[in-house]
Order: sequence, then structure tokens, then C-alpha cells
Amino acid sequence: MPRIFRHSLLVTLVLSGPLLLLLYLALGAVALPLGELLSVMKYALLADLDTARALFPRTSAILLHIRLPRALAALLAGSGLAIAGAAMQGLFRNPLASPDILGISAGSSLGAVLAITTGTALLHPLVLPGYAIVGALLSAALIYALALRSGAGQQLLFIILAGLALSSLLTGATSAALLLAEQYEISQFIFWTMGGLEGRMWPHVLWPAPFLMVFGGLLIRLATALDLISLGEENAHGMGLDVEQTRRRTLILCAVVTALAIAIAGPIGFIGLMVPHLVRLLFGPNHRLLLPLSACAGAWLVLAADLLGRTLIAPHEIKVGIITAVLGGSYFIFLIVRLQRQGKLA
Amino acid sequence: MTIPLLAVQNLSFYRQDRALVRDLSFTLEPGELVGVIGPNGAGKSTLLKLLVDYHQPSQGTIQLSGTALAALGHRERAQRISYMAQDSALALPFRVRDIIGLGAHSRPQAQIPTTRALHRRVTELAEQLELSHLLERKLTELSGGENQLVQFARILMQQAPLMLLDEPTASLDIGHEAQLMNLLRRQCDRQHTALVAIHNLNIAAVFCDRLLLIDKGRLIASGTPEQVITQANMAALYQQQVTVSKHPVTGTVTVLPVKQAPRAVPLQVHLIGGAGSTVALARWLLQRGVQVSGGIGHEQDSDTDFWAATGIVHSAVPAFAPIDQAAIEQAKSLVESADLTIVCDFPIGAMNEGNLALAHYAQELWLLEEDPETAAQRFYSDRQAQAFARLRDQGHRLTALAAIKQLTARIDALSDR
Repeated sequence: MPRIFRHSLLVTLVLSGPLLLLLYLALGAVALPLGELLSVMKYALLADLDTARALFPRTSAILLHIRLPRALAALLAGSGLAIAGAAMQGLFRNPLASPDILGISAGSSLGAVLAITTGTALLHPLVLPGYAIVGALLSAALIYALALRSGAGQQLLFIILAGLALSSLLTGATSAALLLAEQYEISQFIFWTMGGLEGRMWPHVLWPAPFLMVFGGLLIRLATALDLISLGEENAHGMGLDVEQTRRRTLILCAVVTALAIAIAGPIGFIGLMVPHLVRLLFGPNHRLLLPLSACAGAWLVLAADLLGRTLIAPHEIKVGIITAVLGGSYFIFLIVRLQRQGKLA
Repeated sequence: MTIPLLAVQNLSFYRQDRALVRDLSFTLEPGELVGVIGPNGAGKSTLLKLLVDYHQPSQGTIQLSGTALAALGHRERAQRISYMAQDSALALPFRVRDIIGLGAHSRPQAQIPTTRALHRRVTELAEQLELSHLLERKLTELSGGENQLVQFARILMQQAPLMLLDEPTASLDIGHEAQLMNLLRRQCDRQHTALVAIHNLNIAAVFCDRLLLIDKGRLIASGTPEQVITQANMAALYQQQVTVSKHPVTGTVTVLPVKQAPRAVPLQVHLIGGAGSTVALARWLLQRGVQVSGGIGHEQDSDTDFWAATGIVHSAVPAFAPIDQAAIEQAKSLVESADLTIVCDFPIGAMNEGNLALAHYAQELWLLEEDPETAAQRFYSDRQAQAFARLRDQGHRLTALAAIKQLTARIDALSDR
């Protein structure tokens, strides 16, 4: 791909972000006038919320209590899922590896649901993310043990099969936990199996946000190690990388980041698979670029998908997970056809 | 005494009770290019992985300039040892330039080049290796051989004094194989040291200072290529499937596969001749699995050279020395133990008339005579002609063609049994 094209694409991608955010905030079941919206934002940034509420009561209510936290949730969840997917694909040297496929997402969901059904989630906003993290880590540990057991040649096939099995097992457990809970709601079930952004409030977002950023940042610091790993573990070792440590760190960080994203927005499907692959196709596999760009692209993609979901058949909403599942499923088929044609993975 | 760059002592490595490396000891000195040879599954790769601390030894010690290998941190180790794995399967489409650049990763913080310097270094290195045209390509698009050259460039980028390479030329064509080995040779001339697992014995013989021959995890032989690649060592590893000789042009030991000598034929033939008269017949016999001995020849004569090169048991006297009684006594046992002794058609003079006396000890004697008309011209004086005439009473006279026919029949009969 020509350099100049790549660079202009990069610039477009970065610049279109704020524009997309503005659209997201303005459009929806109730369209907000752009002028009012910008004024409210200005007052909010100046920490003068009272004036904003007094001048534009409706716009500021919708914006500050509904759309802004929801947008932030979309951005955080999207970037978290995508960056974890990118790192996992690098670790397993395979574009099909992702937290969804490996059962880490399902583990997070189960953890979160258990936090809800046991009632402990009500104690503090961080309890639910905590449970989600534990669930994700347990799944990751299982995958890690499996990865160590099987020979290098068949490793990936085994891991993916095990991941799929683990995923359905955990999803089943999630459904069971929700069914047994006192007030079973179908919307809850959909949220914890497909993901969604409706009703996301500030506490949902603000508590996990700093952790997500810190752990995401730590993941980006592993970029060079992931580059080395892609040469094969023996070669990476020869170049002075502690392969075992990198493997453990990457899996743990991926699990934590995935769990935090899922605690915010549920397991929005295919982001971890589709976004890194697409970014790699456009910008190459270099992880120093791939990880941050995947985070950006994942954030914008979830935002755009939710914007579509909110506006397509307004005032009804299509859950963001449904939109990404349709997008991701099609992309997955495209990916498989492409791999078949090339006769190789990538 | 100086401390060697690498000292390996009593190294053993077991996996699930199976010994992959057993009690290996050797040292490497700076500037050496040492080859690890041995049949498939001998433990060559395992040895290299032990030396780069990818596997940890079950027993024994590995020391790098006096420091225990296990005591080094990953980065520290990588500054001293670079390692090229046998296969570097790559599923992600990295650019060749980036891969080579990754080699600089392990250098000490102060020596890590800036992006621009790295770019320049990679470009230079690629020019040296004639890889410039590949720099912007994706690794996933390269052939196996191109990939190996790229990995080699990455190793050079690491600038470690000790390089361990596992079959670096496995999928290279002969030209690139020589190119890579020459580059490695040049690195070693600059006080780098390389230990190369290699299955092409001829390449190993041409380029390596020393060879370590490993079989079933044990060190079978070590030393110069001439000391290690001997008919005896090769026969122990590959049975009679290969033959060792000295290459007439390069002068290095050369191992060649032998075409079809599946079973040794229980027939021992002694050849007497000179001036190249035994060469064709000896080769023919060897290829059919017949045990051949030769002599008495003169050193530097083409027959003696051939016998030596093919590992034929033979006896010889110095060039231009007559074959005296002592030499005959020495060679006697070869003739006596042979089922058949063949005196080839060769000129006989004072220097080699001793061979006619030797022939008398034969169990069965054939005398090759191409043309009875000119037979008399074979002898420098009547003395040799008379000696030969006496042999005729004992031996069976026939042409080379007839001899081949009879031998074929006899070999066939023996092989059927």
C-alpha cells in the first residue's frame, strides 16, 4: 500500500473521531441542536454546569446524563476490546485469536453476572469489574495451561477449539445464573451475552476508566515484545526476550482489559477480532503502531455502531452488540474466504 | 591458559527419561567457525537450544567466558549469543526491514541505534547480503530460502560475539548456501565465533575450522573436517550409504552418497595395478558392494590416490621407490585373504615388478590382457616379461570386458544367497 495513502488514511482516521463523537452526541431519538450542544460542552468544560442547566435544560440533561456517559462507555469498551484482541493475535501469531474466541469474554461476563446475582455488585461500583476480572483471569489461566501443553504445531487449533468449548460452557453458566436470579430479565441476558450501551451512567464508566487506561497503557508497552514473539518463541528468546514472562503478562493484561471493557458495556462481539485485523491490513503488523491504532479504531467503531443502532429505527434502539455481530460475522466470512484463497493465515 | 569463549562440560539433557544430549564436553575459541554435524535426530538442535538457555541442562555446565550461562539475564545473554532457530514460521505480514531491525533490540541501551541510524544499518546489511530488493516486501511473501537470509541478517544485526545457527542453509540453493557461509566465515575472521548445526557435510567440510560429530546425543568425534569426516565415522553413522573422498579441486573431504550398494557382497577382490589401470574396475566393484583392496601402489600415483580417496584398504610405497621384499611381505596378507586377485593391464618396469611376485600369493588369480599382440610392450625388460610368463601358468587370462561379465555372474550368484 502506498505510503502516502496510508498516511492520509491515518490522518482521516484520527480527525474523523471528534466529528463522529459530535454526531453521536447530536443524533438520536431526540436530536439536539448543534449550537446548544456545543455551548453545554463549553460550560461543562469550564465546570459551570449550573449555567448550562439554566440556559439549555433539555439539551444539558440529555447530554450530560445520557449521551456523554454512553459515548464514553462506547469509546472505552471499544478501545479495550480492540487492544486486547490485537495483543492476543500478536501473542498467538494468528489473526483468529481474540478474547471472544478464547473464552475470556465469556469468563468476564459470567463474573459480572455473578456479581449481580449475588448482590455484591451493589456494594461498590468496582465490585462488578472485579468479578469480571477474576472470571477473565480464570479463563485465561485455562487457555495458558492448554497452550503450554500442546505442541507448537497444533497449538492454535487446540486453543481455539478449547476456547470455543469454554465460551459456550461459560455462556451457558451465565444464562443459568441469570435464570436462577430472582428478577430474570431478557434484556439482562442479552446485555451479558451480546453487550449493549443503553442505560450506561457515569458510575458505570468513571470507576473502571482509570484502570482501563493504565492496563491498556501497560499493554502498549509490550509492543516490542510482541514484535519479537512474532518471530517465533525460540527466535524471540534468542533475541533476549523472556518469552514465558511476556506470554503471562500479555494474557493477564488482555484478560484484565477485556474484563474492564465488558464490565462497562458487556461482551460486544467481534471488536477484538475484526478491528486489529483490519488495522493490520491497512497499517502493517508492527505492534507499536497496531496497538494504539486498534484502540482508536475500536473506540470509533463501537461509537459508530451504537450511533447506527440508535438512529436506524429511532425511537427504537438496536443493541450495539447486534450491529457489531452483523458487521463482524460478515467480516469473519470475508476473512475465511480470503484465507482460503491465499491458503494461509494472514 | 586463557578462558575459552564457550566451555561446555558434561552436558546432559533428558526429556521424559529420554536422553537427548549425553555427557557432551567441548570448548569454542574466539574466531572459530565450528560445525555440528550428525544424522537427523542426533541432538544438534537440542544442543543449540541448551547453549542459548532455551532448554535448561539436566546435568553439566555451560560457561561463557567464565560466567555461567544460567546466571545471565535474558538481555545480557542476548548481547553475547545470538541464535537463529531452524524454522521461524511467520503468520504475520511484517516487513523485511522491520524484522532485520528487530535484531538491534537486545543491545545495551546506549548502543541502540536511532531510527535513522537503524534504517541506514539495515540498508547496508541488506546490500551486503544482496537482499536490498526484499527490504520493503512482507515476510509472508518470501520463499523459504529468502526467509532464511533475512533471519541471518537479523542475527548479524544482533552483533553478539557468539552466533548459534540451526540449519541456516536448509532451504537455500547452493549459491546462496555458499554466500551465507562465506559471510559467516568473514564474521569469524573478525573474531566472531559461530556454532552451526548443519546437515550438508560437504559445506561443513569446506567452511568449518572444526567439526563436532554428534550421534544419539553423544559426541562421537571432534576435530578438523579431515579428522571427523572419515570413511570409518561415516560408515558408523550412515552404514555403506556414503563414501568419503578428497575433492580433486578444493582438496577438502567430500562425502557423496553411494548409488545402490544395499548389501555387502561376500566377495573380496584385491587389485594390482598402476597408472590408473585399477580405477574403473575398483569403482565398478565398490558400487556393487564388493570389498576391494589394492596394492602395492606408488604414492601420488592415480590408483593410490583413488584407493585412498575411496577408503579402499591398500598398501603403497613412496613415489619412485622400488617395491621391495619388505613391501611385499607387508601386502601379502591382503592378497592372501582376497577371494580373487586381479592384475590389471599396466606397464611393468623395475619399480613395480615386485607386484608380480606379490601376485603369486593369490588364492585365485586373473590377469587382464587387452590385446595379446601388443602384450609384449607392457614390459620394460625381459626380466619382467619372464616373471609375467610364470604368472600366466597360475592365473586365468582374460580381457577386462570378459572379467566384468564373469564378475557380474559371480556377484549375482553371491547376492542371491
